[in-house]
Amino acid sequence: MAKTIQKSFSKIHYSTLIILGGVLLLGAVSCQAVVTEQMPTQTIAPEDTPEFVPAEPESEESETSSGEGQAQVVDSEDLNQCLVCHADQQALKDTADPVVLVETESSGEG
Amino acid sequence: MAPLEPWEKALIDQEAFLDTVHGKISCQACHQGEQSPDKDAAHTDLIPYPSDDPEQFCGECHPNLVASTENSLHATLDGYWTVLASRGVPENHPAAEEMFGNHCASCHASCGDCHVSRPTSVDGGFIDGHVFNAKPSMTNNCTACHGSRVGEEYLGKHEDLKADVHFRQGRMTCVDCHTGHEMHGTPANCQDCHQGPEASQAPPPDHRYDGLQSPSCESCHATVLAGNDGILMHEQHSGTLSCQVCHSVSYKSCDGCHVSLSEETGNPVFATEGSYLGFYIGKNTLQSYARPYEYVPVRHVPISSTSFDYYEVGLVSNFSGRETWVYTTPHNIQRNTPQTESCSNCHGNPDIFLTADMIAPEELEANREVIVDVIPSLP
Repeated sequence: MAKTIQKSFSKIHYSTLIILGGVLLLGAVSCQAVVTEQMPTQTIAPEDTPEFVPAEPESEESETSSGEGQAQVVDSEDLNQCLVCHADQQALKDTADPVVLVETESSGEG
Repeated sequence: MAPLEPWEKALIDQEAFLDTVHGKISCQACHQGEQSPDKDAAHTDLIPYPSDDPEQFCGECHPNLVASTENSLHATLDGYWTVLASRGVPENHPAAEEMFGNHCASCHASCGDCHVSRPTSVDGGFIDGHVFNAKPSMTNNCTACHGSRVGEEYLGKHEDLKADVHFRQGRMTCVDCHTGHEMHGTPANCQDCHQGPEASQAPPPDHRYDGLQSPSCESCHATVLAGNDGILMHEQHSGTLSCQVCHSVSYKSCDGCHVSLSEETGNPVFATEGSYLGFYIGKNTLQSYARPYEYVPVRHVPISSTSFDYYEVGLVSNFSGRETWVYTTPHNIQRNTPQTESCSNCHGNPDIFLTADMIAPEELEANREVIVDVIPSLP
């Protein structure tokens, strides 16, 4: 009796495993198709971001001013290079020449 | 005025500056230099003060202002040359040129010294994060140079002396009277060039009191000039006394300035023998259609016959060629002063008039025209 039950369970188990395996294979194939469609987008976006974010707003402004007839217009890279330091208080502190305290050598009211 | 930290001098307010017209111009268009993240490389061939060459860097957009400002006293410094020449200091003379370059030329004011940063003569530094101000700041720009006399008087820095009423009650700043027309040498009206029947045209000024009074008190206080403000003393003294004779209080005079180069550092230095507060009425040596007054306040200027001897003994070869007690317009105007309290505070008062006994013997000849020989008595 016990052997009969064990045999019939084994038949059910093997057939279930085969079915499950088929389902998983189909699922895997379909999922891979979705992923491969999305990958190119995800790959392009991170590469564009570093250049796009800082440059575009200033470049748009400079182009606008150029359209208004300024002879010497803003080049976004030009502005960025100077402002990287000169708009950054800490950067200016870090790169400032050492202060040389000079006592006035003049005397009396100037 | 507290000095700026090195980083403060060069810090740009990016958000504010880029929103202005000047913020649309590339940095290199004015300052040149190199595009590099390395400081030394970026500052190669940098032009820190572009407006030292106003024609190239300011004139493209502001041609008229640049052209007229070149004739202003801030640009020409002719006020200095006028008084030096009248005392016998020669032009085109090596020692005089050297002295002038070391001690006088730093008072030249460029466009940027008034509109974007503190003057370079006080070590510069942006005022508003490189934003260009159409109107200069009183304390950061004007009194940064004109501080020892005008600034201290106007702001009431002298003990027991109140600030000028225009500041105390009106909170007026320098540019409220000294307009852009005056600063840039551009006429605001016909009279600025044609100053009366004797002047069909006016050359550039050669000293600060040359030509029409600009600004003048009467521009705002017109009823005083017309004599219809109901004040008897205005009717009585108008035209004879400058406004400051009655409405100024004590101001600073200085004596004996000598200039040289420091033995230690080689830097230009000066030494004055003394300074003091006082109020003195003298004769007006600049009487003209525009300044008809017989009496004006006079202030002692710190020239001496040996002021420039470090550069060449005898450079002041005609010390008596110009007075040392000079016409002045103190910036400490008050409605009520000792002079307005009582007639006898002026009439018959020897303390308030510049008499010969107040003048150093070696300066008597120079001040012959200024000295009040007879103190006016009460009529």
